Amino acid sequence: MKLDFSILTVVWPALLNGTLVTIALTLSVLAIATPLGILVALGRGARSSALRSGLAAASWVFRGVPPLLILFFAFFALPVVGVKLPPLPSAIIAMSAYMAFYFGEVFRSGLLSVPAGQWRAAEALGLSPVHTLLRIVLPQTLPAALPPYISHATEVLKGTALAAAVAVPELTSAAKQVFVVTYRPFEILIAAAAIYAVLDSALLLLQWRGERWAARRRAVRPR
Amino acid sequence: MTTASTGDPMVRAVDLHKRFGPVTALDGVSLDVAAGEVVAIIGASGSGKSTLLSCLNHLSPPDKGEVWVGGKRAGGDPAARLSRRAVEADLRRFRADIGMVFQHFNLFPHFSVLQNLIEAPMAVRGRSRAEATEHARALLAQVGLADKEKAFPAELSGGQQQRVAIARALAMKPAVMLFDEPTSALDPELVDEVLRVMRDLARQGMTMLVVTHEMSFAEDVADRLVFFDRGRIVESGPPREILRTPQHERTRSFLQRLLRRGA
Repeated sequence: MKLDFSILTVVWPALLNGTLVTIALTLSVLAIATPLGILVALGRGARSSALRSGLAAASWVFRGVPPLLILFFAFFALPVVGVKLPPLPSAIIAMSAYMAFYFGEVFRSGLLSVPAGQWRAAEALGLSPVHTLLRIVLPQTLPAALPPYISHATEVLKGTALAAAVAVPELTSAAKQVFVVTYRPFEILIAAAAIYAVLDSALLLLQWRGERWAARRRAVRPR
Repeated sequence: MTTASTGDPMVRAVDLHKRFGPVTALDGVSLDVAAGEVVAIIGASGSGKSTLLSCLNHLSPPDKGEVWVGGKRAGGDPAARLSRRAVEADLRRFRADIGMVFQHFNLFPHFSVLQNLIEAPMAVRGRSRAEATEHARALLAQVGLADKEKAFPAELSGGQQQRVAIARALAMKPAVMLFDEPTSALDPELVDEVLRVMRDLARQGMTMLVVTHEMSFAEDVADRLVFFDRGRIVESGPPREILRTPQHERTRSFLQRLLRRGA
């Protein structure tokens, strides 16, 4: 068998559309699940034990069941109770829901990595709790939280392929639709893989930039 | 809220009590500090010295008792029956007037030295960046670190970090400065540069409460020495008198232990 990538000059619009949907889905999920994850992390350290155990239980459920099942839930089960959403929004909601709890774990260990003295110093200066969180504490979670955050973000990117199961026309399903009519699965799947690799690299670039940012700003550990 | 008339103490602590579980950290501590006065607080570790400081600025509020600084009561007027939110807001304003320096510096490691100094004045005092920066540069010059404004805390020595921390507290233009063992985490050769800055500050008339094990600093700089034991003030008076002729048995044994250790 000889690979012939000239087929791509014909099918590229379909792959491009799939790529754009994959990017839109990934960015939407990250944009929603990241702040939710921060809230989950804060909630899991909250004073109210009802909130703490409620979130721990939800985290256990959402991280314990297959993501595909949650996607099916949003797309097939919610309409039964009257919540009917198009494929893309339902995929965004489903993926954001379980990613919020994965990010919750990431930010929880990130928050725990910031010494209590940072909160105290900010409080002693009269800074408000919200200001302290956003300006003082969260940026300092970066060294601890960034590597697991990026690896989860990569999971989000790859996980968008699951959305094909609820009729979202993302990259993997676009590739499939193209190769079943052209009978050129090798070329088209390799092209799709290359596109995923480029998108992955963008996330790794983000990690690299973040690590460089954090290098000079590392915490000073008292001896 | 009333303001201080001349003659009123700058800091007034009345009958402070604080427990941590079964441990009584403060057992009825009252203390008045006059404007411009420097009070050194000594005592064994666990005797309640540090707890007193964090009760004064309500980082950990006392279980019982009152704190007044510059004529303002921490938490506002109880007769006003403020909401929890209003009390929190009042406490933030209250703390902003009290500079605090920690044993482990607690600089913000992700901020440059300059940003460490201007963050709170801009956010809490509402100063412009230009105004806050100008003041910050003057303070850095005062603590001998004018050339370090672009550095990050991890790039500084412990002594330099503590001087930045002092400048950060001063950037809020506080009415009083609290020092919680400011030189205890430093290598011996870095202690003097920090004490020098504190000496200058005292000379400029800053009201200071200093928890310290530096007896020579206490003797030279403090107007008054307060000896803490088991959550109480056991002895209080001119440093020379207390260090030379301690009246209380506990003060005597503490100072002898300190002497034997060669501190």
